[in-house]
Amino acid sequence: MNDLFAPFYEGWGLFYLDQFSSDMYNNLLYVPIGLTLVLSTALMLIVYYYAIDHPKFAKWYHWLIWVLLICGINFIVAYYVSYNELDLIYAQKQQTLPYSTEFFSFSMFNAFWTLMFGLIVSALIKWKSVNCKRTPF
Amino acid sequence: MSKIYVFGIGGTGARVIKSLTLLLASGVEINSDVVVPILIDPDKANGDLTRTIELLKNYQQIRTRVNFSSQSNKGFFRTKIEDVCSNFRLDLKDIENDKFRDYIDYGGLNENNKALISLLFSEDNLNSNMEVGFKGNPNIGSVVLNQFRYSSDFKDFASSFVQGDRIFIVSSIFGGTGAAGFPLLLKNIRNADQSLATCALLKDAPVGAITVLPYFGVTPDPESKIDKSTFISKTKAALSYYEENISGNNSLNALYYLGDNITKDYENHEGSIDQQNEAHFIELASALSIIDFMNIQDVDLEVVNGCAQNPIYKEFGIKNDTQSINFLDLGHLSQQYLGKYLSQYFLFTLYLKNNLRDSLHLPWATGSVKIDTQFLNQPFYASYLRNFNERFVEWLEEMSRNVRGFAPFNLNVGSSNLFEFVVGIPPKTSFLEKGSNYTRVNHILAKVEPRVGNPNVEQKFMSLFYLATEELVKEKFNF
Repeated sequence: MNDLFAPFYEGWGLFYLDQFSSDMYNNLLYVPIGLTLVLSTALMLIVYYYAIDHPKFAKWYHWLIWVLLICGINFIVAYYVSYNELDLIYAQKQQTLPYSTEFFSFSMFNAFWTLMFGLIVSALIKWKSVNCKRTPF
Repeated sequence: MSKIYVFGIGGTGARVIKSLTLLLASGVEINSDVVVPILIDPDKANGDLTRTIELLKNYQQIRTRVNFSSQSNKGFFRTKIEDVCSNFRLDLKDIENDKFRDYIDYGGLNENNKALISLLFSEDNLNSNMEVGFKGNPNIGSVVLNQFRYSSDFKDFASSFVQGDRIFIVSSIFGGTGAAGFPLLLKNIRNADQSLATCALLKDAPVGAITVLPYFGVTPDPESKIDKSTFISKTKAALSYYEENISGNNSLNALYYLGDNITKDYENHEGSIDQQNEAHFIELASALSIIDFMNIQDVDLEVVNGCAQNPIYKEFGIKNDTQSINFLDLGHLSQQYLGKYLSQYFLFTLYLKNNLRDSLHLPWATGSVKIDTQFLNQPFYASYLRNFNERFVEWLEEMSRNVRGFAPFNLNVGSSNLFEFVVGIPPKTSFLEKGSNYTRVNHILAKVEPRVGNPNVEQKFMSLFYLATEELVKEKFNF
């Protein structure tokens, strides 16, 4: 599963962050972050389309706010998991954590993929919703 | 395709047909594919007549754009209204600018006939100008209206009548036009001219009628020929005539009686444009008699050689004798019937007036058949439907103001208490239901939208709101 998520997080080379990406890959850190992205996005969009499913929240910007919320959650998860795990790993090697801006960049990539996945899930599941079947498109 | 020909004679006839039209618009089922109203009134400019004709035309304008593909489809404006006479009005000749004495060519009569005429008609009667009707004189009406049988409009009605069609006559008994016109019309149907191809059909046609007893008065006015103190005596005279010549000879299959002892005095206008009475519950109840008549089985309306085999006589009652009636004061059947359909249509008018424009982004409006601002600017919505809905609300307002009043709705509900619009029946609510007030309506609209399919936009619009309002009035009031 690490190999499934890696191309997305590394952008097929476009988002590759040298040693940071190698550390993430080698320590299988893409898996929990990727799984969290998939499951949280799917679950929260099911909540939006089928549990909330409210005429007052059927405009495109309601959907966007909801998806940005999911993006925010996944940004935080990505930052937290990557920072804490890599910090622990380097602490065990008695080395200083060599990364700073990489965590932010990686978390932004995660948020980006959350948005993309959110669009795909929305297109697939919205049709049976009563009030939001045409949200956001 | 069966038809019901509804003759509305005089002002009361016109107002009852107006009530019937509004009931049909709300989706009331009449057990007939087509209603053919025929208005009979010599007073062409009569305010009530004019309002009814405009409403009927408005109904047709809406109905032509709404299609019902199968017999079982229910909906607003379900029943077709067709006209067999121009402007739904049976034309009466030689009445304008004519005095009664001229109409009967009094000057050309010999002395013996003049003497006979003078026994039957006063000088006032003879000098009566008939342009605004018969001013409460059925003796004049009974002469003038006998021209039915020769009129081309009557012949057109007769030639369009087929097996399976029915006839209903609406009139008041205490005026001039209705009291005279009803027995004359019935006589001309049962004894139609032999030259008409359908004379045999008409002779044995199922015919029902409602005769409306006094339910309003007029203010005293020395300038007017109409005096409410004569209403009861005229009623008695007419009833004794009907006893011999209508119920006495079984010429009717069903006769409905309706009246009220709580009355309001209207302004005393002899006729013309000023005779425009406020709508009254009696007229609504009279319209229900037409629906009741159509629900009678054919086997109970058998006519042989012009005589009804099982004549039926009915009256209408309410459960509670109050000054202002709401649904809870009606009998159970009336409550369920009027409650469902009128509530549905009133909710429809409220939504269109207060919430439609803010909801055009919602999924029920944005499918493959779009309900958008372009649709709202088309004549169907901007003119025909909006105008009709204004007449509907005006009718409710008038009935609520009248005496005895009919006020089943709180006409001034707002956005925060929408479902409190039915007087005396608090709306049911559920903790789990999505949305309240107009938001709830939006949710139900979205829920029923898949059932509507993809017809033209007008059909989609009307079907959507019929289904949604039907579900809402069932959910909230159990109608």
